[in-house]
Amino acid sequence: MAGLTVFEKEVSKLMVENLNLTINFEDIDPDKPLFNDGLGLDSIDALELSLAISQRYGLEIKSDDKNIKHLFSSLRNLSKHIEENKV
Amino acid sequence: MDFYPLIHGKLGNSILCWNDNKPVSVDQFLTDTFALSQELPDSNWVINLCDSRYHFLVGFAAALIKGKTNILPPNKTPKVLQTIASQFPKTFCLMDNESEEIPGLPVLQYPSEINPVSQTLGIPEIATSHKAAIAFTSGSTGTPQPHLKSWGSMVRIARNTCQRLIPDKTKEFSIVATVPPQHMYGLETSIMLPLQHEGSLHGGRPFFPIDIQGALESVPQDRILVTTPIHLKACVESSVKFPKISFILSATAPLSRELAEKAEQALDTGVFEIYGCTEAGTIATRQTSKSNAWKLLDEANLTGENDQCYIDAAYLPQPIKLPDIIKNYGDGLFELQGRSADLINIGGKRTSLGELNYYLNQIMKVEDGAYFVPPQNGYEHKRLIAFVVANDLREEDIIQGLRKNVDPVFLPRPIHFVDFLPRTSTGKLTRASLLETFSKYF
Repeated sequence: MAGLTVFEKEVSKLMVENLNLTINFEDIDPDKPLFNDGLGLDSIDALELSLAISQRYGLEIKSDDKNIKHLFSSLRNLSKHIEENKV
Repeated sequence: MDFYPLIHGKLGNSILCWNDNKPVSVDQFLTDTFALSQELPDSNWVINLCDSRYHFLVGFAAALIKGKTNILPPNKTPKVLQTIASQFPKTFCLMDNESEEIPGLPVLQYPSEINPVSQTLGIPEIATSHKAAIAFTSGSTGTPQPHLKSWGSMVRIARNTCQRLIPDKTKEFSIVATVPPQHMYGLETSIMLPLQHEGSLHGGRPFFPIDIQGALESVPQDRILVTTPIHLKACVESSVKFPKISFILSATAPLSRELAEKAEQALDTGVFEIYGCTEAGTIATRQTSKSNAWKLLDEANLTGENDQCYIDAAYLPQPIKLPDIIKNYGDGLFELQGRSADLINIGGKRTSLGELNYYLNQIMKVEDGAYFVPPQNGYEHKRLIAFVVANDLREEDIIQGLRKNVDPVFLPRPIHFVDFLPRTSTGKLTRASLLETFSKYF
């Protein structure tokens, strides 16, 4: 498994804490899908996660973003999106 | 035979829907509906899975004018759809998302081209006795139980609900909804209210707070937001600035007075709750911040007390037993004192503990297992958890096993592996004993 960058660890921690995941934040595979077969997140998690991201980084997640699927496809892609767009 | 019109009191050139920021007139809607109705396969049953609310509306109406019945599946999992389809011959799915497939079921894709309006079409009249829709409650053996909805009952409920919530008929209103139209509450509020009370609807299904804001801004006043406690909480906690909302409707899960008050303050509006069930549809309303008591819709009657309460109305085929413990004050007022059945509603999706436990115990190598609804703390959404007796299984195995049959929002988190479940000598498992097990872990 590829190691997590400092920022990916931060996003991972935010996710684990806000969604009450049982996995250790440092153990999340950054390339594995967050939803369904991967980490097993669902639509309610997406809503909770979007709130946490907007509160921490001032960034609103939109579902008509062309890349919404890509965005939630992995911790790596989500972190990249936040890092590039945070306020 | 008695009839109600598909659309009540609207002119052909008035706006029925706001779809992708473009207004859709009644004439355009009727043109689309008649065009689609010609494409529908020869079957009495349509499972309408369209994601777009406008596409759903056109599919719903096309089925009605062709004398077909709309099937509203409790969720989209392939097993559930196949089980339902096996009960209704030649069922097909109407879909507007080409990337999705339903194994083993024929699919009609919603047509992509737009039909120009060529003539003014009359508003169709639908027989009140027509089987407009079938909704489902979950059975404890994994087989969903069908409930028939006549067109007459759906129209009566829509008109009664409007009379309660929007008594001024001259007011134009636009409905934006986060709940799926395939859900009974979503169908009654976001489809039937605009059709039967001169309103319009937003054609999409906004999800994140900023989507909801965008949808609200794309429709004219008076704006009504139809949502659930989970989305309401997200809107209240988000920093997004919402336009003026006339009022908000919430249903599918109990709304706490605390969240209702916060939402009224933060969004400067009134928050009303709808009480209903799949079997009877909308039954009563209340303004949660102001009243614990619910007020029945005008045509509905409540009889009985405690867990033996029945709802009856001229539009219902027979009295329906309610799945709740009720304090009946008479005069159309009552209070809920808890759920007597084991119904679970999360984010507009419904199931029962019985059904979830059935699937949990179907998993290979699960010796015993039970779902548990953790006690609520404030208005935070709490996920379901599960206690499982299984020697060789990991959490992932259980989740994989459940995923085939259970909607993701009902997947337990966390799963606790225990040596045994606190069953009584007769094998019963009470909530009190599970609560004790729960308190050991949290």
